[in-house]
Amino acid sequence: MNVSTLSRRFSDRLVAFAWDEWAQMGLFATPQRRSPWAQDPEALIVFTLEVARAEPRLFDELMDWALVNESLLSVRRLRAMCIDETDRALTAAALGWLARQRPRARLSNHGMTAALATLQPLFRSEGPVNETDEDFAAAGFLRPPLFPSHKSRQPDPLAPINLAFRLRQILGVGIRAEAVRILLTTEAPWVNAQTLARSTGYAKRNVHDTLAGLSTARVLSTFTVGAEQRYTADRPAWAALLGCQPNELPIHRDWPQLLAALRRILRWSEQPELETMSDYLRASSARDLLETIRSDLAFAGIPTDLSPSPESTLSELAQLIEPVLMTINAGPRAVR
Amino acid sequence: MFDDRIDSALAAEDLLRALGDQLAAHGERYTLAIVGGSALLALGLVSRGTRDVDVLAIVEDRELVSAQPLPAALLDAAHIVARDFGLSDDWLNPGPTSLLDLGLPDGFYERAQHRVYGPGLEILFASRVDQIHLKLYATVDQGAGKHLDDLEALQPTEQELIDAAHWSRTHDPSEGYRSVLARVLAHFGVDDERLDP
Repeated sequence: MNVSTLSRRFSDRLVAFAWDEWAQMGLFATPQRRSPWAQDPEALIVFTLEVARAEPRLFDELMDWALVNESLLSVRRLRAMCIDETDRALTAAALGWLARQRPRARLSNHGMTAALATLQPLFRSEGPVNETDEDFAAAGFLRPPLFPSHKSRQPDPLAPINLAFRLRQILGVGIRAEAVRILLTTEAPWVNAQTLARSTGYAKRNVHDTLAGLSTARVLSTFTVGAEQRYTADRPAWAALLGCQPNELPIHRDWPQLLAALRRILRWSEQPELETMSDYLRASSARDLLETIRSDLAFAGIPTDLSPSPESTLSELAQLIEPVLMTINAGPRAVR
Repeated sequence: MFDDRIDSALAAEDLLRALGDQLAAHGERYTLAIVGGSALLALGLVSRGTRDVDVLAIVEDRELVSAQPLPAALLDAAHIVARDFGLSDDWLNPGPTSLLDLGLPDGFYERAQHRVYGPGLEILFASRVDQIHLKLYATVDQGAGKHLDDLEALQPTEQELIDAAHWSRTHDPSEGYRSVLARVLAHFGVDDERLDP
């Protein structure tokens, strides 16, 4: 399979996954499944801003959803989920558009990104753009003016995927809700502050202070092993509060890491120069990619084996993609 | 094929082509003069494996200049190739470049075999005759082992050994060197009396 075919199929599966997730979160679409996990809204937004460049309808419905539900979102976390300049530019464009639709200080876009000298098309395949959206143009992207569809709804708080929103309604938008989400969904018996910091996108010191406060309030338990403080949540008590059995709590996925890795693979596979590179350079570039994502994938429990042979690098990448997609149930299916 | 060793002419070619690709991809271009086991492999003169590629010199306007230290861009490219092929980071090294200090055999550049590895890399492989010079010197200077094996594989004629011996003495005119040189020549059935003018 050549890289462009792999890229197209990969993109299709990511688009289908994003539709399935957002449909359960209030975006205007019919849910095709019931995801068993708690989603990370900001990680999914930054991911979708890239993935939906191949699906303008998804992109525009996402923006409509964000407009309806912006009070449930953390701008700070949106920025923390960005892994590169493209993420920062896309996020700046989205925040700029939201701020124009609903002027609020927290949506202001100061210092987010500088406008690029030349505009690049936002969508992968679109004809000439006669009139440009100025908020997206300010972030360097060319697209027609975006108007809200007003079709989005608030997330169903009882759906497993929406646990993050429910906790934000209870604990407020911020580090407490994120820490509790991780502690309630993870399979690990305990979590330390460093892991929670990586999972939530907040600084370790802030996570530590928040956990200390929640421990003092007796809604989390803390124990010390060696020099390390470990944290655990009383799942039965939290489940009772949420009106479910402990075994009905949603499961955990390391969304920031998984979705960042998928985004990097997608961007790598869409580089047009891959088609004209020598076989070796293409393999070497794939090796760069694998080395970049291996830390995130290891954090998410997906090992990467790198053999010292350029001939096998591309097949290793292709073989790695499948378990990552299976982890998020993004199996092959028809795109809407 | 690699396993931290360059074990065939094909493997040596693959490595140099990869190095050339990396250099070209970063807008760099170098011409290197290569000696040692990898050069012998690439030219099909020996079949033993080697762990490194010995850079004798960087070639600038037909001038051979010291490869010590290797330029940063060349090192960066070599490190990527090392990663991709599972080689040690110093697989490309300027180990023999000090040979330039006392001079190479006359006509080295003209005899060298030129090969181009894309727009980023051109290699001058030391010719068989020059490899005999260098291998004889290395055998006497550093001891037998792989150098003597290579020298035997090159099947030098008596005259080639005498010419190489004369040249090598310009690098080390000591009596100690001469006595070891005589033993090595004797190993090849050459009378050391031919060393004297």
